[in-house]
Amino acid sequence: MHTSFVGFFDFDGTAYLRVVTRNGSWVPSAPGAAPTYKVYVNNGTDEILAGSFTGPDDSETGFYQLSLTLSAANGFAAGQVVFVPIEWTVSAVAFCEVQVFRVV
Amino acid sequence: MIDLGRYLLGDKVPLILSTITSDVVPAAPTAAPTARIYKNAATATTAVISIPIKAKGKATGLFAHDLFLSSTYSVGIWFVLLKWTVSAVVYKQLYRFEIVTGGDADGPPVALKYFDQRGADHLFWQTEALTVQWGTTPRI
Repeated sequence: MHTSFVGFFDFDGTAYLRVVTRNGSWVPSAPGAAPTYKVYVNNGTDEILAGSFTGPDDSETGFYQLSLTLSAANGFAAGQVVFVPIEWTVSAVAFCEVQVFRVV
Repeated sequence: MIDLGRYLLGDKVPLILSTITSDVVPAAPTAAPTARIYKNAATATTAVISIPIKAKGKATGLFAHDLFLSSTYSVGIWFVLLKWTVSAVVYKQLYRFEIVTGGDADGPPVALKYFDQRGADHLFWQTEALTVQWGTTPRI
């Protein structure tokens, strides 16, 4: 599993995330279905949002994107650290990457 | 994904890439890597550029380019999808950076000429974006 910090986003703004889905050899690969995500804030154990990425974009194998609205209605607040585990499967093997950002 | 940080218009974003294989071994790609650049949620590229080799003959698979943030770019989140091919296998690496408010899309002056003329002093300068600008009576 790979974890990366992807920056700061404004509260009430939009967080733009992208991912390249890979196989076990680090080769970009088409997943069995669009990657799914869950959103956790701070040390919370329950996700506040979940869904799927869209794509692949620009006919690029494995290149998917997600836009999150960082509103109070969606459970966000300034100062939160947000964890987004992203999961996909390639040839029935599950893979995961975590992207982390901060709401400011 | 690798976060390259925050920049202003007129800045240069260092795009440095080691073309590695599945074994994380640097290898010479079959052609120069390409960078496909997208803004926010766009599904089409804003720009596609080739990344030139760096330290040729001294380091295998090391490529670098300073991406100048000209008027082609604007405030927002930018993604750079780097692609290269080794032994017919396509690899990709994803970078991101943010352009924040401020700066000047022309970039800094790279050349300056001073003329002492009757009536006024004149300055001509060329910017990173290759525009030529002019001013009179400079003061410090």
